[in-house]
Amino acid sequence: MMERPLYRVLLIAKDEIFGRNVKAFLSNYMRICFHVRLVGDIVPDDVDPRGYDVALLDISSLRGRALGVLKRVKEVLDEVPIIAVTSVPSSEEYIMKLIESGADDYLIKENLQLSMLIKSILLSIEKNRVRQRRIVEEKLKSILQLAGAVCHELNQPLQVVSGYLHLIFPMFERKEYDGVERVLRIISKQIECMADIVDKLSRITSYKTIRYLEGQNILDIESSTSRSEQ
Amino acid sequence: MKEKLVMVVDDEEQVREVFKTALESEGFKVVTAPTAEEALDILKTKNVNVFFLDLNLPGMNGLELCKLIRRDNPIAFIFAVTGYGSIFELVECREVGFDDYFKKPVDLRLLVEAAKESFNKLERWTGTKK
Repeated sequence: MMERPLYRVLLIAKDEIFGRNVKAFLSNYMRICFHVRLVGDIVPDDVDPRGYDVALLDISSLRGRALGVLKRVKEVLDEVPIIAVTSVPSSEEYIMKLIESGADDYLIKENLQLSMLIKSILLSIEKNRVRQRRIVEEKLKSILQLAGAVCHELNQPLQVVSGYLHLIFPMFERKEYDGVERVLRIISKQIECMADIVDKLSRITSYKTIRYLEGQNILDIESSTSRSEQ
Repeated sequence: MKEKLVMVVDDEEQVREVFKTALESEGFKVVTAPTAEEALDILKTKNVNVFFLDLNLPGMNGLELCKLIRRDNPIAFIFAVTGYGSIFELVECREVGFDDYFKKPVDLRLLVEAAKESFNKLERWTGTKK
């Protein structure tokens, strides 16, 4: 027998009848296993966002507080997608505000059917997965671009320092002290270059890249550094 | 082989200088260039068989330069030297014809060894080594 997929739902509803009904419908759905936790119109402290795949937020009784509550719930639940449910249809402008405040979808109680609710839950979860995957990919890309820039910039002076350190010892043996002094000056200059690069890294305030090799970009440390503090 | 001529191409002057000093101290003749374009100009008049090329050059990059050198001189030894390396870059380097790949900061003894080994092979191939 094939195992049913499991989704964990946080249902935030002050309207107890609505909350109990939705919980019962979802819990008894045959094809998918929904684990539903029903709470009032606030998110309790013991809620761990990692424990939920989706949240249903009933905003019908919140009136003017709905956007503020939605924003707070979003802050607590972080990456969990939120579906706002209301009793009356709202204007397009208000729906846009709900989305901007963190809702992933918007449903109206009046004509809400179980199939529609499940479709919305599954779609929100899937959209969120894709979004989270993209965020991770983007983060990795940025880290690689930063790593590339750091390696590229620092390895130039490091090469000069390590190279001349290798050459300086035979100079001592041959008592070529003028040559030793010249090399020490070069090394000192390269250390200053490295300090300058590290200083720029600590002042990065924007994200600009430059082409490194074919198909590769690295962070443009110079252009991404705040100039005002220089 | 009369003259063991090596070319170093890197846009960082100090890197060119330190490579040149290390190679010259081992008896090699060294010509340097800050860009691929200048390297190609030098190659119109000089016969070079061993190269150390930085990959990230202003203008034409080291990969393109390697392709052009390899086209005209199939037996040359061409080494990539890079400040930022990855496995993808290594594969690309092998595809365009680099013989080996060094990540900066590279131990100068490795570069010298690579140059010595290259000239040994060239002498064996061209019959100038007894």
